[in-house]
Amino acid sequence: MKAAAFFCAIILLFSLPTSVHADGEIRDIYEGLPNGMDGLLPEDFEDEMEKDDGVDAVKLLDVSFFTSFLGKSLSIALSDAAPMLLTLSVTVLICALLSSLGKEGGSVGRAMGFASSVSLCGSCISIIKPLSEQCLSTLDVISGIIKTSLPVMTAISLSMGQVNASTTNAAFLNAVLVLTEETGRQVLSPIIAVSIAFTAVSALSRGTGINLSHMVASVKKAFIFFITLLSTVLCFTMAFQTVIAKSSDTILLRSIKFASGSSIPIVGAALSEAAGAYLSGLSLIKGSAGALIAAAIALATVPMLLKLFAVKLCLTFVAFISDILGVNGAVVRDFASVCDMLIAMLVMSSLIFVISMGLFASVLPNI
Amino acid sequence: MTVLLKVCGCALVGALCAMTLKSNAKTVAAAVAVFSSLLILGAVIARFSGAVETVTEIMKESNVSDYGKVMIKALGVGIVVNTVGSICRDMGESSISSVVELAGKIEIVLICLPIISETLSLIKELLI
Repeated sequence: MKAAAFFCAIILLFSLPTSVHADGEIRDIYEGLPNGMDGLLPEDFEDEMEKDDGVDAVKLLDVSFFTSFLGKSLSIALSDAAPMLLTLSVTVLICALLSSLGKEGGSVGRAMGFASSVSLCGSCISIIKPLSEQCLSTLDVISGIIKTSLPVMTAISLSMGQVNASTTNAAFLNAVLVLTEETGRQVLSPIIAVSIAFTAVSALSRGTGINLSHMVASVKKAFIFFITLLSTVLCFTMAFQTVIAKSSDTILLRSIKFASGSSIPIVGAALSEAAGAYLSGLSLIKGSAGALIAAAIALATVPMLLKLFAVKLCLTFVAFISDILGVNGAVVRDFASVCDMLIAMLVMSSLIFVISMGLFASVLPNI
Repeated sequence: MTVLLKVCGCALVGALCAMTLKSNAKTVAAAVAVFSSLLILGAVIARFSGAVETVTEIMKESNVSDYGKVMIKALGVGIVVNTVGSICRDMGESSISSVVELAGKIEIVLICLPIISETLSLIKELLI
């Protein structure tokens, strides 16, 4: 039985992508980070990565670093949103002027009202569309980070003798990755696009007697339904991941221990001092790799989230001004709700990945 | 403020002259009314051009300057068409007034068309 388990473990070990090396480097994760991510990390991070398996480098990712990063991101997001706020406010002011003239202008006034609706809708959609694209590319960056780090984490897990846990976690994390990517691309993103389209058409058709606000509300309901369904499915997947990964390796751990990358299996209690030191190194890698992945996901997600929050704040404020000036602020409010959808999609995806990776790291034993 | 006072004064003088001349020389009264209306419109447009420049400069700072231009153009068309339509109605030519207003509406729709097509193409890009 043990021989069969050992044989299966060997096959699994070599069938999985194991990019971690025997010298304990975690450079695969660092070098696999998306372009531009290096600039977001601390200045001497790369130098520190070459020392002590990157433990000192990870220490640089402390609270003060994240606080300053948050501050910088917030400053950039607000400075990006400020011209939008100014322009939309001026647009709304001209809309108010058009509306006030339009009330006394009869049919010409209605045409002027139409022009103001078109301009306001065009302004909003030209702000929202790039945001939607940036949001999708951020999701791609997060997926890229997971795809890069998954083989390394799997290899670390394998090298610590967690054969079943590593395969289970890798399989479930892959499933989560595929499910999130596909659902994001095939379901949530089109729903957001349809929502933007309905909001725009609703704004353009305002005053014609065609009321599309119910359609916009229905699309929002569909989005909420799908995102709730996806979250539920992913939570169940993660629950299974935890249960299966934690219960499966107890028997195997007693008899088999592996060191991966060097391609030399170390069996039973015959661990030499060198192997012991190596495994200690892997333990450090485990901690540093997990922190680096979490940091990378945070660095990729936080600026986009802050940008979305800033734009949403700007749109909500403009909607408020619109209501005060007597211009219909529903158009702007509808576009602000699209920001909510983008925020929900981004937060759900990044949290799911961070939690999944956390679960993966949590099942690794302490050496 | 001084411009506004001048406009109000011009309007009062024009209205008084037109009213006085109405009983004896209807044609001259109409001409006076038209002249004073156009004078006031010119003063308002001259006053408004400074504000338009400021708004255009603000709009230039962001990428939605085209939409602001459309609104300003629509506003301009609306003001001109409303004024001319009112003058025509005062002169008893309501049919001409209707045609002028129709031309104004068509002009506003034509001004909006590029933005409508741009918005629809953006929606199309999102959906495909």
